[in-house]
Amino acid sequence: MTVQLIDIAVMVINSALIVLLAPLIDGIISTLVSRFQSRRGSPITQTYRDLFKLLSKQSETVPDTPFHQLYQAVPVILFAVAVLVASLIPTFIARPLGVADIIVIFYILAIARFVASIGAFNTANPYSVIGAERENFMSLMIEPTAILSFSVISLIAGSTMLPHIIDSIFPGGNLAHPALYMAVLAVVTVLVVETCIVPFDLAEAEQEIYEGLMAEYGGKKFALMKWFILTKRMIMLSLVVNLLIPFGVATSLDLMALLIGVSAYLAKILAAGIILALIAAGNARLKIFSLARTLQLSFGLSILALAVYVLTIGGM
Amino acid sequence: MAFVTLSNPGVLLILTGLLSYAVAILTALATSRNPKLCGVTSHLLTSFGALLSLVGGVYLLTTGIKGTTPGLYSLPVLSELGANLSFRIDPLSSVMVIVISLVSLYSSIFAISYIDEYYGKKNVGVLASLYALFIASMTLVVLSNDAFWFMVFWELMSVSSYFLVVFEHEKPEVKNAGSIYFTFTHIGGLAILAAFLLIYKSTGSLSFDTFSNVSLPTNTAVLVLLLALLGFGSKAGVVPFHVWLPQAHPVAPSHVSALMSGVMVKVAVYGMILFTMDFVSNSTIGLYLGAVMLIIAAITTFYGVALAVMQHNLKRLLAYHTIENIGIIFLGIAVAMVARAINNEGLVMLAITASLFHILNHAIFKSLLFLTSGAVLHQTHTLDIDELGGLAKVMKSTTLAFLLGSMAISAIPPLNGFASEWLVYHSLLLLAYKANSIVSGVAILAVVALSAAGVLAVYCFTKVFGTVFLNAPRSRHAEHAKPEPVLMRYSYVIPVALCIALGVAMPLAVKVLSTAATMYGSSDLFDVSWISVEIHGWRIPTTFSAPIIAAGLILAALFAALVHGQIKSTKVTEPFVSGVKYDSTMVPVPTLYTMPLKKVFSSLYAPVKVKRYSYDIPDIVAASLEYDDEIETALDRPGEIKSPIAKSGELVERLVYIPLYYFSSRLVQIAKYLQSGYLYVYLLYIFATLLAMIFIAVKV
Repeated sequence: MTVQLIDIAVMVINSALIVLLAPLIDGIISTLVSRFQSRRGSPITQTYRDLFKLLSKQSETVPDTPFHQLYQAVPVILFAVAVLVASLIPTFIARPLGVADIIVIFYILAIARFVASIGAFNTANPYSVIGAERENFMSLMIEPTAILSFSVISLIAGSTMLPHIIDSIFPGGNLAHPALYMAVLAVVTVLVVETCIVPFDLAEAEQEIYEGLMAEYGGKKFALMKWFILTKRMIMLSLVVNLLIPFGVATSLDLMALLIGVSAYLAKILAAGIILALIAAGNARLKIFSLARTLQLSFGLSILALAVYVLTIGGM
Repeated sequence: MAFVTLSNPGVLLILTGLLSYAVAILTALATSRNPKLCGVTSHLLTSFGALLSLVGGVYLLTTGIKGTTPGLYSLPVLSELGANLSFRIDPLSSVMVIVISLVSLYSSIFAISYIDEYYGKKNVGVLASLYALFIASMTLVVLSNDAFWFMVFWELMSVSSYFLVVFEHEKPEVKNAGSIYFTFTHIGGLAILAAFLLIYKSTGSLSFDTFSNVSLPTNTAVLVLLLALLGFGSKAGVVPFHVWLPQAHPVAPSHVSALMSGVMVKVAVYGMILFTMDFVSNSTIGLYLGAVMLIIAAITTFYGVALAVMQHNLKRLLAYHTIENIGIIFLGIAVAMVARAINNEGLVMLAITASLFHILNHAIFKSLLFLTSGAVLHQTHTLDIDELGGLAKVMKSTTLAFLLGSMAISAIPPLNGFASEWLVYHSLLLLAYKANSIVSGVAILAVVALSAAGVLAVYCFTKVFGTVFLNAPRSRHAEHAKPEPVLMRYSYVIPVALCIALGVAMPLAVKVLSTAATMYGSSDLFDVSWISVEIHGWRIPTTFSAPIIAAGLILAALFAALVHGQIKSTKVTEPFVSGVKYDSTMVPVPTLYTMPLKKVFSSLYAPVKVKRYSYDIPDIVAASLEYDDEIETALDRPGEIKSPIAKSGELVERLVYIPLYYFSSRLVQIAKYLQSGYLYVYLLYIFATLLAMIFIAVKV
């Protein structure tokens, strides 16, 4: 394998695009939710302003627990994970990066879960630990489904590398398989849950279990954690739109293709944002066990996808 | 097989290492009156021997020598059967020698300061000599070249480890654990012996050289593999033969636990690889038995970790994680079996490489975790995670080492645990891609088990680390903890460095280890360069570059630190709990953290007591408000189980072993009628038996 300069450039551009657009999408969603609920709402740039303001704070408080260096490192690691993962997933261009496949991406996200949970314990705040409990429990519901669905998709696409997967579920590509559609549907439902919007997680309330893991953080650290969640949402959205509607994703470095790629990507993300806003505006936050019940449906669907796949290949 | 001369530097080093173990045994026994001198000299000698063997193993692996040494010793009758004491030197056994010696190297250093607990109370000389004997016998097992000596060293390993397990035999739970271990190890040993004898029936020789070339009839082959699975599986801790493992591993002294959990189970895995890849290469049965193994391994993986999450004893929790990791290693072996059956030699090698890499990685991080837990035990005298807490304040090195070990075992990239799990994932996925049959479905379900195990491992170790090392102490034991001895800190250095190095430099490690796997497969699916591992066989090859991911993570962290910027003032405060005054009773408890699991997997944990709370609230809000709190399972209080044999309260015990116990005790009741106690009745039995045998002999 050779890593070319252009690949690294694509990684950096991907990452920058996702990380920088994430607050904008959040702003759009929250404005839309307000409008749907007949409120005026904040301007769409509000999230940038919030982040900027938080990042300009010069002082911080740390909880009085041993090893609080760990507590201080957590937001930095979380944001780093988001930046790294953002560089590894295809946005407007499906170019083989040859660095990580879908399993690596899921496990890099596990770094965030591990570190955030430890950070929550480190604050000695019971709310944080309940937040960590929720986060871990949800991943138990989400991750096996996601990996199962992606496995089925990989078997049909013949690759575990995301660009190739998106490339091959292109209409007019080589695939039309019932199991593929079911697996994509299953994975999309769990990825939407991972976007942390209202029925599934995270609201704007400050002092409750809601924000769980982040309860004890403030100032710069809170900004990084918030940005991490926004970036993660953007990552999940990018995956969702590119799996569901793989139109327009550039496959070459042709200027025209790139232009189409970028505009198609932006349009898709915007559409996805509007749909998320509709979901968020119409639902209250789910209790953890009702969420588990909802996610069981996705798992069932992905099992069904596997069954259909095994049945169609035939033979013993 | 070609001959390897004894003057080969690698062989010579290993032999010197073994000699050093022997000297350590003698020194330990000779100086046992002076515990301090005995502990230091014998463990240093053991460590030195391990270092020599390690260097020898690395030399043999990198030069790729394959063959047997000339016989060193032979018994007259046995030598005719091909049983000479000669060493089997091949890349696979070199890998095993490396694993054994590496863990022994730093565990022995740790032991020097760990065993000061026993000074004046127990015979340190016995402990140290059994310890060296245990290491030497494990090394000899993987070097054996015939069934006779394999069994001799295997039993030596079992017996020495049994005595190490019951070293603190004055405690009743230790004695119990010891007898369970003794029973299982003997049943397992018998099964292995039976498997060897079945092969011997076809070859007429006990030498492994002849075993490799024999083709067994299908029925015999199936029986041999099932016996091997029982024998090696029970040693390795494969569900449902695992029940002794979480009992026995934790009660041994911690440096011994590290060896048992990190290394001894791998010796059993080595035996399994020999049987499935070398001795029984009957491909028609490989498909079905491989699929069965795949299912067993997937269950083992999930079951081990699901029970680990619920444990309260730190070392027992780690022992359950050993079961999980054995499941992961067996997944690789199962894939290799099926791959051989479908004639995909490249996949055989990929899967065996994955298994070997995980054997090495698990040995490193599991021994690190056991040593750090040993340090916790040494400093606080308790292993109950509900009683610990706040150790980060005093035991800084142990905290960091345990954190790194937890991250490695939870498969957090870019550490070594993830590197090998990624290979196991790809073995399974590629098997599903290539098999094109019902096996594909089984392989993908194993992938699901593996991913669920990954999530639960994170769940488990965040809980353990958070409760044991962070926050405030929960008991007097934890409050009075003192910093760990310096020697313990030094002993963490090698495993910590290797957890990082093997993860980041994964391509290099895979390159070296895959030379051992080429014994059983071809390397056409692999393309390993300095910076990435490329797996062919897919329509489009998959690549993973651990060094680039690690570099990316560092760069991203630097960027994040840049975004974060400087902090001018830092204030230390109490946690914020929604405006109420914070007090120490609000410290998070571990049982709360894992509550949802008890609800979701209630069939697995079988809650025995559920406390239900209900609140009176205005009807307008909701009809009623009820929730379950403090779900207690049998796992929570293993000490209070009344059943005569149930020890852990886990599912397999309830489903398999307790019914088995009652069934066999009923059988014994029936047999009681035969035992009248009068001499003439017994003579009558003997006479009847004699008559029956004569009758049979005449008939035949």
